[in-house]
Amino acid sequence: MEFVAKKTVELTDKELHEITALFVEVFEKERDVEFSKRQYLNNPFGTSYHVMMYEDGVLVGHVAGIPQWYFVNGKKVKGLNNIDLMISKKCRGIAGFMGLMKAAYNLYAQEDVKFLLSMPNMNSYPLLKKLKYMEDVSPLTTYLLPYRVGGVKPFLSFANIFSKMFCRLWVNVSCLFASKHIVTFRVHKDIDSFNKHRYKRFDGVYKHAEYKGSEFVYKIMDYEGIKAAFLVDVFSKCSKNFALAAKYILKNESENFDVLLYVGNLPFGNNGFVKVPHKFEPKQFNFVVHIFDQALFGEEDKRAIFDINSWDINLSDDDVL
Amino acid sequence: MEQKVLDILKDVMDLESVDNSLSQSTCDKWDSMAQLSISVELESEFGVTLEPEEIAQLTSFESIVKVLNNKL
Repeated sequence: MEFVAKKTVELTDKELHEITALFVEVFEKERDVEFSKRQYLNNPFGTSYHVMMYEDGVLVGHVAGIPQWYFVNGKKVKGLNNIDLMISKKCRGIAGFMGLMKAAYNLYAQEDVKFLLSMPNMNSYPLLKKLKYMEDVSPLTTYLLPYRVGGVKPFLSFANIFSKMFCRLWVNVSCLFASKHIVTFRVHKDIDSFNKHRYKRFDGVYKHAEYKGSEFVYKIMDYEGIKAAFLVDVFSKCSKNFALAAKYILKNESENFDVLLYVGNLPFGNNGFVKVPHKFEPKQFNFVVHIFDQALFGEEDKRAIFDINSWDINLSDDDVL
Repeated sequence: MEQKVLDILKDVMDLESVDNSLSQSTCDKWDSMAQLSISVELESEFGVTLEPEEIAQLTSFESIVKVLNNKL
């Protein structure tokens, strides 16, 4: 087994093609080289970090880290989103997995990365945890507005008129009574540098809007057969801003989606959304971290960092939207 | 101990029969997820905590017994 570490800007065309082909093989999803470039190059550092695993000269494993600027207790540091961890089915074994992660962590440490965060799928999540590469913070929570319930369960189409009325009423009442108190977090992204690059990733089709002081990004897409509007991020986090974002999307995109979703952690209620209990969530996003620089977090922070309320975190920090 | 280990291997991988020669190279079902599940069951059965390097060694009946003998 051979491990090769490179930045995206150092990859040859052949290597980029091989990484893309491995992604298609392992995840059984469509992807082309241009998509891969958009994922890896659109960040404040203009490059991501890769480790490739070869067997007999063939690429059989890969992991990448997308760097971002974050503030930790007010100090600006480099954090990394660990993504595209994939190993060809014929080569899966714990020894190879550990070799890949060891090489990746060496690379990340050399690049002065202070912490990793990730939302791994259910294949890699148990391995990352059990082998102590990552530690649980918390599953993220799904918040939703079921605008047209018939879009989720066709036999409920008769109830669309009621679900639409409920959602509009819920959001309008939330807007009236929601708090304007902006919540601060121990760990949050540098929003200016983040927003400059983040929404050029994936398919680049995001909508940035401002409504009565609430600034946010959302995305309309087909999500597993359902017309979904994802509220990706709200830049200043208070319940009022979330409620206003929901109101805007209901008002301006009502024909384009059936369900409005936000996935993250909101340490406040009355935000215009309905919180889904974890056992009913359509998909679980396990938020895990690894801290390289323990000194970055003071004594009292060392356990607080594993409290979800210390983090301004949602799906904009990951690569699924 | 050895019989308990064989029982764990049989249960985790849903095998009809097991013996001392069982290993990752002779059993298709012994993949990384099975290896992880085996480690969890061994920890529970024998009251030990396995380090990542030890989990990586759980690739055959013989190596499992060797790891456990070092721990117990």
